[in-house]
Amino acid sequence: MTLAALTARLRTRELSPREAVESYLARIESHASLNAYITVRAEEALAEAEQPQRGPLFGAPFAVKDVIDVAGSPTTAASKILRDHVPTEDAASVARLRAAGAIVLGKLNTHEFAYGAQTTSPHFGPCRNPWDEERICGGSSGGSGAAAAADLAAATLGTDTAGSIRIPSALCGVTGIRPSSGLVPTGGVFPVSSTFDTVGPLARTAEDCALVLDAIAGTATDLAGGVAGTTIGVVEELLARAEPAVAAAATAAIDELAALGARVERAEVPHLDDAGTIAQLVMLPEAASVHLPWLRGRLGDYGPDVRVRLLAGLLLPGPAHPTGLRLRQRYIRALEALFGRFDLLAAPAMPIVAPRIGEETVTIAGEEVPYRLAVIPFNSPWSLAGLPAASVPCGFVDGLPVGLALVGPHGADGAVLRAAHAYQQVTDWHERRPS
Amino acid sequence: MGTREESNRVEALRSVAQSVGVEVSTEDLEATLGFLDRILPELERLEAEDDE
Repeated sequence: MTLAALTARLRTRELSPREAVESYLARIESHASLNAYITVRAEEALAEAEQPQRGPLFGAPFAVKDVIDVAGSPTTAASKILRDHVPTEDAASVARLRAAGAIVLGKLNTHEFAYGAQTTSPHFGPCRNPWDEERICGGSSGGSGAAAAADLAAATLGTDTAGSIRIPSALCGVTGIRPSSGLVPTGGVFPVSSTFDTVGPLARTAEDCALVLDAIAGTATDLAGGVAGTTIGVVEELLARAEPAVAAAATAAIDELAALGARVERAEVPHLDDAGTIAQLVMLPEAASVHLPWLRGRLGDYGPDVRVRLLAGLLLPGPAHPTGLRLRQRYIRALEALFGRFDLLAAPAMPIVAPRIGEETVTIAGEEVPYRLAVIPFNSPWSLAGLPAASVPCGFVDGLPVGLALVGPHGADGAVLRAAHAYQQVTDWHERRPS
Repeated sequence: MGTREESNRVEALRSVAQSVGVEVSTEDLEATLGFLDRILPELERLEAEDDE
């Protein structure tokens, strides 16, 4: 059931908050093999269901990525280092969800310290893709994507530094949006990179994402109006870099938007190839700085991939960070100019469908590429400029979901969701569920 | 570990890490070097373009 449908039933008392919580707790238990949850707050959620706040999310059971603080519950970040860390206050986004009436079911699996795109923590185990449990669910908000796809919460919160909401949304067949940088407060979230970190929803539909975003950002998203008259720039360079079947699904989705009245034109994103490198020049040192005390004393307690990434940030030459920040400003100006011609950009959210757990390389158009390097060009260009970017289910390849990326200028989160909503009014990809 | 040059670069990284109080194994330094080798040439190119 979508969040919108659930909140309607809760408002009319067709369903009580307690019944909703019990229903999700039963599903969480019966889907334990997915390993989507790190902590289930069964008793606390049932207690909260007795008296939720009156608001637009009254009684709706949520779950949040385990880098986002919930008072009294561990924030492990799927790490050994924070395994026993229990915050005393809610993160700002969680406090806003609660003020809107939401109930917190638990904390969701993530790549260790939200610093990777697979959600295969060596300390808490891999989160499995509900469409095929032998495959990854993406990351780093992998538990959020899996829980939204398998209906283990009415909606979820994730974080996105360099793709961590959009990647699991695409690989799990759900709708997710990385909000504009600065739109949602990041207080109470364990950081990766203060320049790029964002908090946002992963849910079944664009309408659900709008409900969540309005609660945590204080926005009032208007989904009415469709895409007629909207100019959408197609990033053909990314279509060309995706697996052909994935590109075909994304192209069909763009054709659908054109049929709805959008004007579709080719867009060339300046410095697209450099965006990933520039983002890393900024992100790697910022992440290393956060972890420096543990790098000194607990280096062996990190998983190998995160350890190397943090060491790379530590050992990058000092000028890398200021250079990255300077180049980022130039890139932002170039994209602002591009958005003078386009209202939105469209591209595949990912070049591939979900790889198998343990696969470090993927095959794109017959060529083997490291998974990490394959996903960067599809995600970093939008993170680098702090833009709102959604992944919207747009088809299946070999029974696995494909996502369309819709990207807007900074602050145009509503326009991104409006286009996604218009698309979902005439397609049913977002309604399909794993068996 | 292969050439003397690679060995020297690993030792240089070890020295930088030690200067900020971080002790790193040779295996981790080699993996980190591999990671950095994808970024550093790009950094050099971007800095040169930025100067133009």
